[in-house]
Amino acid sequence: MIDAGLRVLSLIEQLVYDGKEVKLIFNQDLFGYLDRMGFFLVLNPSIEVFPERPRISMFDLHCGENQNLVEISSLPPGGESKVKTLPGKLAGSIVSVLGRTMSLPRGFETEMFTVFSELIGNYFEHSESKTPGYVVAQTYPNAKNLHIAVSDSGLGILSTIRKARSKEFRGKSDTELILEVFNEGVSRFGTNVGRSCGLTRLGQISIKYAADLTIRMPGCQVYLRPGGTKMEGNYAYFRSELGALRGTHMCFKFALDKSGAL
Amino acid sequence: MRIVEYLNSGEAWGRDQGRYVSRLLEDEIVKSGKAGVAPKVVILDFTGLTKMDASFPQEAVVEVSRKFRGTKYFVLTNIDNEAIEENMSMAFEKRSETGLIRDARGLRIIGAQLPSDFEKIIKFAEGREFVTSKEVQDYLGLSIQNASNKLKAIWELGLLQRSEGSAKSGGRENIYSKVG
Repeated sequence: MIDAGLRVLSLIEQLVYDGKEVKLIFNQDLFGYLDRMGFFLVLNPSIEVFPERPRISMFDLHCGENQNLVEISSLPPGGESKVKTLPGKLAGSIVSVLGRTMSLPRGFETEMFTVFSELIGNYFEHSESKTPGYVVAQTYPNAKNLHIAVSDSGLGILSTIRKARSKEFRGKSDTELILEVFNEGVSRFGTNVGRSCGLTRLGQISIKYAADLTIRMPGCQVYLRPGGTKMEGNYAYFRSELGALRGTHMCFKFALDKSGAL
Repeated sequence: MRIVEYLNSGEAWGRDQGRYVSRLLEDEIVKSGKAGVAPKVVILDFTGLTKMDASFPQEAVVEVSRKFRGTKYFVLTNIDNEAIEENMSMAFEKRSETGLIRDARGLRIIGAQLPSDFEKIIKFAEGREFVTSKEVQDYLGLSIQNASNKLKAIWELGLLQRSEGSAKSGGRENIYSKVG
């Protein structure tokens, strides 16, 4: 659910970028949920909201009381220096919330830091997005679950790789290529350059903490699940079944109770 | 060289920050060379670094060590967080490089996997002042030429130091020692 909120924010930014007028008309339940996740704090101020924008943010009002939510943060294009402390802050919040009800392994905070920093780093390094990206985490301490989502309106993870290395990956499906990205590391800069260590680390951490991964790209949505030593393709939806949405939108759903690491 | 002194905090992430730190480290290494006091071994000390991803060290550590290959030897120290070490290892592996960590927990060889004989030789050298081709020949049961080739290959990877010594026969021979 939390990743859907991020996708809506990205879609709105894309429509505004394309010169469209956007109005958001809410029913009360959805409005309250989005308000509590800090949706309106990062929503483009030019967007009209009906019945009206919250005068006092429920997120601000209950800040510190809501034990399950880590706020949505926006990533300003070209503004990496403005979010230098963000991965550490998000990782610290997760550990603080989950640590109340479960014993976390040594290194867990650094691993969560790695997830955020690699995802945020990819936004700045590869997406070439002209509009903000978003990142969020939601914890479910009772269920020992953790969801981390990131969303951008950039080029799309596979289109950048395919464009740069078209001959090499011509015969591969989107699912096959995305599996290679997370299992072996594939970069648009080529194999000799040896980048892409970040996404491979994310694959390793996903396996360690039993995280399912959803990746929505312009042409398809792919679901991966952790296998023994690799991420495995689960199933995929393709362009014909999906609405138009640019960029890359990832959601990691960690099932910490199923992980042998805890 | 303490990495946290090149950062504003104990957290390091991203290629941008990695490139920034790599420039500072390179300047420092070059500057110390010009002053004529350059030690051959560069010790990168991670004391005080509480969090680090995998992209940062690919620029700040792996690229710098590659740049000075042949003139400097690099060893990392005081990485006491397993997750940071895994990120560091991934950074080396994805560049097909192998790195050395040495601290209170002993020597660790990280990154791209080496042939098993290479690892054995590096660990063999760890407890000695120096090793020669003859000693490696005896230790692993290799031909002298094979032992010599392996030592040279490990030195070329920056994982053993090399200097010239006197052979028992009276001639000159290369002797190898641990980095640091």
